Formats: sequence, C-alpha cells, structure tokens
Amino acid sequence: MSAPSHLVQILVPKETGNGTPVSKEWFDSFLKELTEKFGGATSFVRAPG
Amino acid sequence: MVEGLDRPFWRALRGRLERELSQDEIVIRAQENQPVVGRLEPSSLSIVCSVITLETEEAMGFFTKDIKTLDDLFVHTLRDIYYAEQQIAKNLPDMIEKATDRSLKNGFETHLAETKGQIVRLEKVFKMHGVEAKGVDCPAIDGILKEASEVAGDVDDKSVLDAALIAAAQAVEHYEITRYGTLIAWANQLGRSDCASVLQQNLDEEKATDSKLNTMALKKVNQKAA
Repeated sequence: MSAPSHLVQILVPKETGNGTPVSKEWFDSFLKELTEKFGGATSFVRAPG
Repeated sequence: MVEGLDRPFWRALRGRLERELSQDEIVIRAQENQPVVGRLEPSSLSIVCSVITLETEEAMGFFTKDIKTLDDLFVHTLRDIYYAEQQIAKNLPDMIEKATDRSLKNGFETHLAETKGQIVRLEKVFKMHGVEAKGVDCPAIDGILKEASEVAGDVDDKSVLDAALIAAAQAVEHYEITRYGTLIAWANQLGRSDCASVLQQNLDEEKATDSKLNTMALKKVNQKAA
C-alpha cells in the first residue's frame, strides 16, 4: 500500500519582515522550483477556505 | 498532492523561507487526503503544492513582525539610512557630471567624499550596537533619486539644470536630516549616547551641506536660471 497523499499549503506573505514587498520574480521562481520538484503547484492569491 | 510527507524537507524549506523573507515564522500545513471513492492509482496522484499569498491585513497578522521594540526600530532605521547613503554615493557622480556651475560641482564632489565617510561612521555605529551592518530597502530615497534623475533629464538649459540639481540635492539632505534626527533621539532614549554622538557628526555634515546648497541657490544659481 502506498503512503497516504497530502495536500501541502505554504502561506507566503505579501511582504518580508522588513516591509519590502515579496517580488513577483521571487514568487515565480519559488513556484517554478516547487513545480519542478513535485510536478505541479497551484497558487491562490487568497486562501481557498 | 505529495505522497508521504518528507518532514525534514518541509522543515528545511520553512527555515529557508523564514530567512529569505525575514520572517520569524512561515506557516506550512499539510492535510492527509482520503479518496472519496475507490483507490487512487499511484500514477493518478498528481503532486500539487498549493501556495497561498494572503491579501488582507488580517491575514498578515498570521506573521510575526520583526520590529517589536524601540531598539528593533532603531536598528531598522539605521539600516534604512545605511541603504540611503549608499544610493546617494552611487548617484552623486552623475550629479557632479551634470552640474555646470563650478562651485556646485565642487560642492557635490565634497559631499561625495563626506557621504563615503558617513557610511564608515554608520558601520561604526552598527558595530558599537552589536548588530550586522546591512541595508534595508528605502523606497523614500529611491523615489527622491528617481524623481531627481527624471527631472534632470527633462531640463535642457544648463543654468536651469543647476537649479534643479540643487533642489534635488536639498530634498535628499532634508530626508537624511529627518532620519538622523530621529536616530539620535532614539539612541539617546535607548541609553546609547555613544552611538548618538557618532550619528550627530553625520547630521552636522548634512545640515552644513544643506546650508551651503541654500546659499548657492539663493545667491547665484537661481538668478542665473531666471
């Protein structure tokens, strides 16, 4: 029997702790990294509930 | 969905995100999925991570802020002016090149040397206070310098350009004066009069530069531009 699957959610803030906005480049690169590792990643700009 | 849960991986990722985003805590949560009907074949287990950015102020409350005390605020503002001084040092050579009036050119050259000395003094204050010397983005100085560059690019007449350069430089000086004034007050409040006296040297230089620019504008440059 295979291991149970999980839905993993990462809550990424809009700004860093220094108050600098998290750049689109950083976010896109992070999303690409996850996509490459896991084969897919979905982003939501608001919590889906 | 991810099959199994590689906890060390997620722990390491959380640590990395906390460092990269300067956050005390990043939330990564996982929930086990149960198929509603039947049994999923491994090939149909598409691996999906959902990344959520939070838009509301309330949501931002999930994240711990870095600035908690007056001391934190002092260090943050010190890093703000450290970044600002570095940006000014980068921009002054361009202003020196654009200035036509000899005394204005000389004034900018002197201030560039002073700015480099001010950066060294700030590094001394970081060291005295026992924190790492590093800058944080300062959108205010970026905006002042961007506007100065844009306005200078729109001015054709050299005398008018000198007047524009003085106005821009004074905007920069006034920004620095307000920051140093605040830092000195906070340093004294925190019992760091040693840091305050080093910062006072920078403030005195900024005020003297502002005063020189003012005299130059009123006695010569503005009249030539008119």
